[in-house]
Amino acid sequence: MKYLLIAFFGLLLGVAAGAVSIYYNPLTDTSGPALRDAQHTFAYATPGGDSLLLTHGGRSSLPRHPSDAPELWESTISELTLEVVRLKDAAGQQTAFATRTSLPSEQTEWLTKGAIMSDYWLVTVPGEGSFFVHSESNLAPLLKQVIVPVRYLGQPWSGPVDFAPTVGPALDQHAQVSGATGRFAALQGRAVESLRLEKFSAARGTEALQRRLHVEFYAPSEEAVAEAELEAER
Amino acid sequence: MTRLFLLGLLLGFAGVLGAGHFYPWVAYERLPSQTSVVANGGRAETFLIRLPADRIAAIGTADASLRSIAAPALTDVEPVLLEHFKLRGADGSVIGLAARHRTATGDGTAIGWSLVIPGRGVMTMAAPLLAPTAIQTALANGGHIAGQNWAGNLEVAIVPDAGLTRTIATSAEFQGLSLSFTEQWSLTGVSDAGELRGTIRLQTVARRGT
Repeated sequence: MKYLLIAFFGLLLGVAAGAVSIYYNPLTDTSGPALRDAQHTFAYATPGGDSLLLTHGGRSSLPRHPSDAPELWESTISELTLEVVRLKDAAGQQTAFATRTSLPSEQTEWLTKGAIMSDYWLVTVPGEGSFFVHSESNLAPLLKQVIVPVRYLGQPWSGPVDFAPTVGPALDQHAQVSGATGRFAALQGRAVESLRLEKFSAARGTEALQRRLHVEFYAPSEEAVAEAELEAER
Repeated sequence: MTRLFLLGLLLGFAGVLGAGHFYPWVAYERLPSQTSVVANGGRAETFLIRLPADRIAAIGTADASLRSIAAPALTDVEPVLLEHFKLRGADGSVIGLAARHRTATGDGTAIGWSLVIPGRGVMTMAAPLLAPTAIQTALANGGHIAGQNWAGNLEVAIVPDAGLTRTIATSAEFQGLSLSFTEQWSLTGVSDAGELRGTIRLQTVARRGT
């Protein structure tokens, strides 16, 4: 019995040491790159006036709105969050609308990657066209710096805090941009997201968050131009 | 006794690290895909959206008419319609979410579809919209009067020609596939509040390569 207790005590200590190692593991604190010369910066504030719709499967602390927005209760989609936002340019003018579908990524892993969230944006600039953005974000720094300390360890909020969560899916850690319609149709590009968490509380979670999507389009390839011309002729 | 303690310590430590690395922290329920092989190569799959049950929200400018609520944010902008639905497989089970953006462009009106299916991946497709008011026109020809209930059976081909459609982006199971699609609306009614009843059918064909 004594030997069993000793082994169990060692096991408990080992588990605790493992958990602490994972929490302080610097490999999962990856931050994304900056896109200093982004051609377009789209910004929105959430929760709040820029969000036209927010719904999820009940696992987020953010309230659904409008209040009659259907809940994503089905087991196959209950992990998803759907948000429709209006996007503003650097001057604060409304320039575009976006549907952002987010879900925890199956890439999530706690030794080398972190808590990965997949975001799929369909962005439409009225009168001009649409483009699609696939972004992978690492939320481990946000969890470690804000959510766990404030919500679970009772530490006071000290912000604002800036994050650059984009870590993929492109090899250079950028999000992938694909033109869909209108003037974006033949374009490809890359993007990163930057977050400024302005207010967070243990009771209400995220109270003010500024999100910015920085997008850079590459010059279209000859092949893409030819394809777009062919399509226009049809 | 010390060895036993160290063995326990090591097992606990390695167990947590192993779980951090190997445990599937995120795993989605994946329903069997209802696909079939098409005669000239490729894989066909039909997705369904049942109205009004699957409509999550539709936000648009005033020209969107029956299809949306006009949000205050969408005044003084070019015509746009942002629709969001739960997405079903051919067997009727909800498998994902769909977003459909319609906007006027310099080359005419166009739509982009983004289908997010957890556990399988994402398909984003686009097509020119040759008749942006096809649904309103079909309903008017079918006898629908604004503000009144209407029941009937209408088939409206919104994107009839898969040859005009394009693949925009794909991921996971759909990575590297070239997609084409048709979009068909089967309408069975309109409530007096303007809510559409019916089914949207997205018939896709995926082929390897471009």
